Amino acid sequence: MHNTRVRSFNFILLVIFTLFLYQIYILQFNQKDYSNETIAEQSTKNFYFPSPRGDVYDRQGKLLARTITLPNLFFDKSSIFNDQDLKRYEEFIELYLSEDALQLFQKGLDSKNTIIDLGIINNELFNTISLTSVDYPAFLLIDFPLREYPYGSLASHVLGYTGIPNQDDVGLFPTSGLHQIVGKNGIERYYEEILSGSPISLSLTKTNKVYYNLGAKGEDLFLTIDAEIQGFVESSLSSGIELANKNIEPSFDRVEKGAVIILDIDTAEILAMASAPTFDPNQFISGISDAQFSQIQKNQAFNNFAIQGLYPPGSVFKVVPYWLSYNEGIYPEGIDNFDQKYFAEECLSFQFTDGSKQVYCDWKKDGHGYVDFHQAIQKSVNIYFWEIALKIWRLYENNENESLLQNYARDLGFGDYTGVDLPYERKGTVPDRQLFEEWRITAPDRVREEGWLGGDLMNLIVGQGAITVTPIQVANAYANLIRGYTLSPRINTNYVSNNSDLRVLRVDSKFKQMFLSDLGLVTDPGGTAYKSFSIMGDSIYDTGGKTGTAQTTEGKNDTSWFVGLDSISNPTKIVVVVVEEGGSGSAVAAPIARRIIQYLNGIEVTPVEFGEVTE
Amino acid sequence: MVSNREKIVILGPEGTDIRLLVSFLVLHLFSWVTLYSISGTFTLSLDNPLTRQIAFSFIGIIVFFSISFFSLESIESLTPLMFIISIILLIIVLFTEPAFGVRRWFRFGLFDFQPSELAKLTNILMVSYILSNKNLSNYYALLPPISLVILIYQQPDLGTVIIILLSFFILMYISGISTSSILISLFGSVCTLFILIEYKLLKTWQIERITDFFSSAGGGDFSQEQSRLAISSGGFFGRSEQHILDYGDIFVPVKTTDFIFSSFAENFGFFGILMLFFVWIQIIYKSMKILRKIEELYSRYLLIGLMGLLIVQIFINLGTVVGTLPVTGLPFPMLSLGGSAMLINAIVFGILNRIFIENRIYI
Repeated sequence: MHNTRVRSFNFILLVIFTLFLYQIYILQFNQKDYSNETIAEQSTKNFYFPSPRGDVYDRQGKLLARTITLPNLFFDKSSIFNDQDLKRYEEFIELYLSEDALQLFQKGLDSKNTIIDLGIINNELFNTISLTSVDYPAFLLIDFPLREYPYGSLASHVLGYTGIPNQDDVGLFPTSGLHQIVGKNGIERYYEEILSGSPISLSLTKTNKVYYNLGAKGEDLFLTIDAEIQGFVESSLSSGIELANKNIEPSFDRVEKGAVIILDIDTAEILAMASAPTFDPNQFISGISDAQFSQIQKNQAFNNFAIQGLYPPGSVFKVVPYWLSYNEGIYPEGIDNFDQKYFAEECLSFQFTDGSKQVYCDWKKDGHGYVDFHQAIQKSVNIYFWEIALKIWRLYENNENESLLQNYARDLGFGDYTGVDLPYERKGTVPDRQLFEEWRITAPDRVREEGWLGGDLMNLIVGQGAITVTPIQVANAYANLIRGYTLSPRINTNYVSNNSDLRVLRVDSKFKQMFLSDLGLVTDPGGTAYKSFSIMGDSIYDTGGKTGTAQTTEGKNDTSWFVGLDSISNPTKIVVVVVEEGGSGSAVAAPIARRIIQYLNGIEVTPVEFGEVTE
Repeated sequence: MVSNREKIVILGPEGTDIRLLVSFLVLHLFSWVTLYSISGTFTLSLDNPLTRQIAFSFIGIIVFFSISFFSLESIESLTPLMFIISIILLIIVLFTEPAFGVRRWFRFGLFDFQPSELAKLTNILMVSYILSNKNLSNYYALLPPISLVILIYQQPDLGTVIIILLSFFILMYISGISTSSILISLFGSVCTLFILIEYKLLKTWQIERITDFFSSAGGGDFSQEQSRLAISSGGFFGRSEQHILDYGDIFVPVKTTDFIFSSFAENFGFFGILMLFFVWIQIIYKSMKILRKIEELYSRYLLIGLMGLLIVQIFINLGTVVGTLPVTGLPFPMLSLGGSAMLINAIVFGILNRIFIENRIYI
């Protein structure tokens, strides 16, 4: 028994040892070629060069961004076998190339990298090296693409710019880490994957085999922007800002920031999008000094205020309660419809349910007198809207309908991303009781101890208080209301995202008619924007809009808003103008919009002039 | 059995088995040259793996001779105490700070002691003790491996558990215990494993490591893939400088410990492997020859158990590096860098030496 088991054990041992030896033999002799290949593959070094990015065109086919290629010289250390050979190259570089290239060469020899980048070379040198390429096999010539923006700073915030990727960029766009170029902003970033194509790669194996992969050029992009309109809009905005600075009270800061959007109502295409201050994306191509970069950053010139600027909307928000009142039948106490006159005194005294006495005074001293709802929009009568807020508060305080106004605002797209195909869009805030409760924990300095009160709703209804919106949200909200359903604004024509979240709004034809006609009243005699538009003569009876003057923090001038309509009989375009710390909407923003509407309608264009200070 | 213990000579040609001693020293040498070829440097700092291993080797050689002075009778009488000590150490180690997610080591700065290495040895000692004791039923032999396995599981250390169970089975099988005892011990161990898994005492990654292996049969594991490349590059006499220049380096993880065999194969080729196998096979051959002559039960079981322990470790490590077994994280005896393993292996060789000496008169 013992010895059978010992013998069988010995036998098993022998078999296992033999099997292992056999396996190792197979590995070391039969699989040698496969292993060598795999080991060589693992020690292969890859080098990547960017392919030309796709071109960017405006809607008329004008080239807004293109890629030019320049020959770039590289030196491949692995093709050098002795010092004498190396000396030959060094002499060549000394003779024909710049001092910088020689330094790069000497530095590169000490580094671990097999390939040394000697920089871009001119055509003459390109010819010389091409002719002598047989004698100098270690020189590699690769066409290196450079981005160029032929119109300079035109639409710079829409186009964005390119640069060397940081860690976050590489995380988002892994290939950008290989070829070291990435879109940093604008459509260059949003459409990075489409524009960048696939990189050119050069693989060097341990066996000194070189493999080229030619990569692929990026795809072209066609924008909804019209370069001509864009140029006109940018100059109008800057002359408007200039004019605002001339009329500013000395106690306020200089006006520098603003934004303009022109949105096509039917298609939600953005015809122009301007943001001030601006920058020239060409600066980044040849390299920009740290000082220049930080200056641009300090001016916030990289910010596209059209989608990133957060402002209280002021009276341009009044179309939300206007729409609400029509649908819900909620008017000031004693008023039953849009046409009934309401007597607007200078100040409104009232009591909340808790018994606290309040007095709210309108912007217009002496009051507006008898106004119906049409005139409440035309003259931007705050008291009329406060009465509506009071009514909502008294009807729905603390019940499920309390956020009625906020829900109407959200239906139009406030408080959420519009989904425009540009990066870094912000979504603003539509405040309500729930948000104030959250803030009491997360940001106690932003809210009162008592939480959400009737006064907050009264602030909200005139676009003041905690509410913040972006200019693109305002443009989109007006377009949604006129269109009757929601769309996401967009900036390119070929990559259309399907508007899966399209929602139909509670807008009937009677409302639309009345809404357009009441916006029309704003630019008519008696309207807040009349003075700014009066220069257009009889054309003003077809234009429309809404002024807004939003109070900001103490010591800062108001945010100046105007939302304009090219026509109220056949509305096609929304023009939104914002001038940060610009002052009155009717005085600063409205004349800029008026000039743009003149241009859009093809009538005589007159300079931006300072309008009437209202609100 | 030696009648007159006082006359036994340990040092000198009449004492220590010269073939065993040479094999023991050659195995140290193999480890040194492999570590030198991996690090390529030799400094007197203990950060250098080769220097550490040489230090461990010297301690090991001293331990080897010291153990040889203990008679098998005294080892037998010390067995229960040693077993209790290793149980206590295994309990204490569970209360230490975890390193790399497991509680496996006592850290002493210069080297880390791994009590489960000691447990491999005391398991064999204790099982041999129980089987050779006429007053105890053979079924008691189940207790040491099961209690050790349960404790080692808590660390957790799946590899050592497998080693303990397999070396236990080899001992039960060759020792001539009745087939029913073997079947019952098999059943008992399987139940233990089942309970460990059922009560989620098994960490999920341990199960995954095994199921992964079976689903991607044939070395899908990255470290095993690299290890196969390293073995393959060795050829007959080891990898040449030119080959490294032409094809580049091979990255093998933990190549001083778990995957040291692949570095050995890379540097010394098929020829080196034949030499290494030759050394081990002749140790096994000599042991088996002596085994036939031993009548005394404790020595007999001990010899089977210790041989089984070494063989199981070699096979599992070989299986791992060539990619036929899942990665368990176990060292190759006498070749891998490591203080605890070196110490325990020195004790094992010391006991083997003593068994050889005490039974040399029968050869």
